[in-house]
Amino acid sequence: MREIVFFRLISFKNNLLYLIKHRAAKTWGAGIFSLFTVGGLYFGLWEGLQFITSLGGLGVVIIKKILFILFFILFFMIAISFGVLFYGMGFKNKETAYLISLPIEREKILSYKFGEAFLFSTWIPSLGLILFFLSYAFVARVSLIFPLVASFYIIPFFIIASFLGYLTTLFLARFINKGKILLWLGLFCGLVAFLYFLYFGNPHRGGLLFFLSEEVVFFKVAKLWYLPYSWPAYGLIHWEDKAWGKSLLYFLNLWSLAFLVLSFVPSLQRIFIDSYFLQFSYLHKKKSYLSFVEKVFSKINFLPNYLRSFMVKDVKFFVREPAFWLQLIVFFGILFFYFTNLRKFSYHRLEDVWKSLLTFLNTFSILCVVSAMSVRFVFPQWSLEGRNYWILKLSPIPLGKVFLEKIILSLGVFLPISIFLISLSNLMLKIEFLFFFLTLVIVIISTFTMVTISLGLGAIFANFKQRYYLQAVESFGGFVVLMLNLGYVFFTVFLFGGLSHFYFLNKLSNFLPLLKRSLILWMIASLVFSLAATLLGMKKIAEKEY
Amino acid sequence: MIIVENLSKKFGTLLAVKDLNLHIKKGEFYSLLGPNGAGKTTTVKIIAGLMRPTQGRVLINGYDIEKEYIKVKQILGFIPDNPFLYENLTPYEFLRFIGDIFGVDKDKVLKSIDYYFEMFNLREYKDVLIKELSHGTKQKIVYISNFLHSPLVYLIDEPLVGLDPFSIHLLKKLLKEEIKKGRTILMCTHILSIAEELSDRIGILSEGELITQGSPCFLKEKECSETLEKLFLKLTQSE
Repeated sequence: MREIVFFRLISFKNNLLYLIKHRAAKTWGAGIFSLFTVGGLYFGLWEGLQFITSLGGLGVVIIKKILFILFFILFFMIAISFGVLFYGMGFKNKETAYLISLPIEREKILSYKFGEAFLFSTWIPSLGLILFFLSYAFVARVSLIFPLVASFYIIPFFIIASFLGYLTTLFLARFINKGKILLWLGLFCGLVAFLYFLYFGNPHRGGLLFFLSEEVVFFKVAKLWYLPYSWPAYGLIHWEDKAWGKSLLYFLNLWSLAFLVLSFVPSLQRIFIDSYFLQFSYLHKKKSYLSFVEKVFSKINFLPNYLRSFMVKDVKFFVREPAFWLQLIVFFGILFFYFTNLRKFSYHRLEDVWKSLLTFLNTFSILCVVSAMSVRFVFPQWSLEGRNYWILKLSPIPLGKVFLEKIILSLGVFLPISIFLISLSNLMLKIEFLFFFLTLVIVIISTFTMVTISLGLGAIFANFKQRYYLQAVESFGGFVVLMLNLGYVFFTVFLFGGLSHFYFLNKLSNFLPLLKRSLILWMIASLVFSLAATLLGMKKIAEKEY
Repeated sequence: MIIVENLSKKFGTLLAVKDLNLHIKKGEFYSLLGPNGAGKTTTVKIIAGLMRPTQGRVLINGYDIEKEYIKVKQILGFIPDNPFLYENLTPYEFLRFIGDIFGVDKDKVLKSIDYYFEMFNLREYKDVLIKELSHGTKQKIVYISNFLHSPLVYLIDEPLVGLDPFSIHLLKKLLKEEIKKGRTILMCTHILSIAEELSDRIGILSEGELITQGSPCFLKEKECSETLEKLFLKLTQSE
C-alpha cells in the first residue's frame, strides 16, 4: 500500500514539475485564477450569510437549518459521487488489472482504490465547506478556529458518506444484473417516496418563522439525530453554543463510526474481486433499444444525417454507461425534496417582497442544478471522446459541426428540464406575468450560456489520455468551469433579484426602464461569453494533436 | 499521391522528424521501417492530419492536408496501431456511424458489413459491445471501417498487431487487392517480412531522418545485404 501511494505521489510531483517547467505561464495563470476564484467564492458566501443574518432572529434560525440541509445533501451527493468514482477507478480502470497481477495483497489494492476515490470525490466539497465556515466565522463573529474545528467534524463525515457509496457500489456490481439496475432503482425510489410521505407528508401550515423552524419536512429528515448526516451540524451548533459536552459527543460519534467503517473497507476484498472478474464473464449483446433510439432521431429530418449519427452515438454512450446517468439521481433527488417543500407553503399569505425573494431563490436553485449538470455532463463531452478522438479528427466533418451537435444535444436535454422547473416554480408561487416571463428568459439564456461555456472550456481542457471521464470533471478544468458557471449564476440572480427586491420595497421608481436596460445588457454579455467560449473551444479542439 | 516536403516535427527540444521528403505514387505500397522512436508513427500521424508539423507540408492527391483537410479526409483511411474505438457501441453500430459520417449509402454500408463480417468470421460479435472484444477483433473492425468508405489512400501504423494467422493472410490478400485497384498504401511496421512481401518501396527512418529508400531488391543490392533484416540492422545500428 505504501509503495503504491508513494509512486502515485511521485507521479503527481513529476506532473507538477513538468507543468511548472514546460508550461510555466499557464500553471501560474491557473494558480492565480484559482486564488481569485476561491476569494470570489468566499466573498459570495460572506455576502449571502451577511444578508441572512441581517434578517435578525429569523436569519439565525435559517443559518442553523441551512447547516442541517447542507450536510444532509452533501452526505448523499458524496456517497453517489464516491460510488461513481470508485466504480470507474476500481472496476473500469486498467490500473486495477495491473495491480491485481502484482504480488500485492488484495486488501491493500482495495484500500488504495478507496482512498483514491475518496480524495477525488471530497476535495471540492471540502474546499467549499471550509470557505463556508470561514465566512460564517467572520459574519457570526464566532472564534476564528471555528473552520478548523469544523474540518475535524467534516473528515469523519466524508468517510462515512464515502463508505455508503462504497457499499452501494460493491452491492450493485456484485449482486445485481446490470439490466435490472433500473428496476431496482425504481423500486428503491418508490419505497423512499412512500416512506417519506407516510412519515413526513402532513405538516401544519403556519407562519413563516414557525414553518422554517419546525415544520419543513425536509428539515425534519435532515435533523434526525440518530443518523450520521446530522451529527456534524449538531456538533458544530453545540460547539458554537458552548455546549462542549454535547459537541464532544457528536464529535466522538463521528470519529468512532468513521474508524469502524474504515476497518471494514479492506475486509470486503472478496466481494470486490468477485465483482471485478464478473464483468469479464459474459458478453453483453445490445439490440433491443438500438432501433428505438435510431427511430427517434430519424424523425429529426431537418438535421443532416451525420449530425443525427453523432447524436445517436452520444445518447447510446450515455444510456450504456450507468456511472454517467446514475448521477442524474443526485440532481433530481435534490430538486424533488426542494419542490416537495415548496408546494407546502401558504403563498397567498406572503407579502410581495417575500414572493419575489422566493422566486429568485428558486431561479437560483434551478440555475445551480443546471450549472452542476453542465459541469458533470457537458464539460466532459470532449474528454469523453478520449482515445477515440482520432475518429473525429479523421472524419470529413468539420469539428465545428461536431461542436454544434453537442450544443444541440445538451440544450435539447437541459432546456426542457429548466423551462419545466421554472414554470412549475412560478405557477406554484402564482407570481405576476412580468416576473414569470423575466425568470423564464433568465433561465433560458442562462442555460444556453452555461452549456456553451461548459462545452467550450471542455474543449480547451480536453484530455484524451484520461483513464476515466469523471477525472475530467474532478480536474482543474472542471473546477474552473464550475466556478465560472456559479459566478455567472450569482451575478445573474443578484442583478435581477436585487432589482426586483428594491422595487417591492418601493425603493426603485424607474424599475421597468432599468429592468429592460439590464436585461438587454445582460443578454448581450451572455451571448458574448457564449460565443467567446465556443470559438475559443473550437479553435483549441482543432489544434489538439492525437 | 502522397507528397511530403521538408517535414519536421519538434516535441519541446526533441526533433522527432527531421526535414523528411517523400513522394509516393498512386497505386504504390510504401513501407516505413525504423527502430523504436525513429519517428514513423509521428510521420504517419502528421500525414493523417492527427498532428501538426513544425515545418514543411503534406499534399495528398494534390490537396494540402492543412488547408483542404476535409477533401483529404474524404479520401483517407487510417489504421492505428492501437484500435481505440467507441467502446459503448457494438461493431454494427460503429460501422453504421462511420458510414454516416463518410456519407456512404446506407444499403451499401449494410451489404459491406455483412460481407466483411462473413469474411472475418465476426458474425457472433456483431451486437456485442466493442469494449468486450479482443485487441485483434477490434483491429479487424478498424480495417472494415476503412474498407467501408473505400479511401484512395491508406495509412497503416503497425498493420498486424494482435491478429491471428488466418486474419493476417486475409488482410495481406485484401491489401494487395486494394493496390491492384489503384489505391495507395503507406505503412509503418517493425515486421520486416511483411514489408518485404508487400511493399513496392521501403524507406528506413532513423532518429527522424530518412536514411535510405528504394525497392527491397534494390536496397539489398545497394547495401550488399542478403536479407532485409541484415540490411536494417546494418543501417540502423551504424546510425
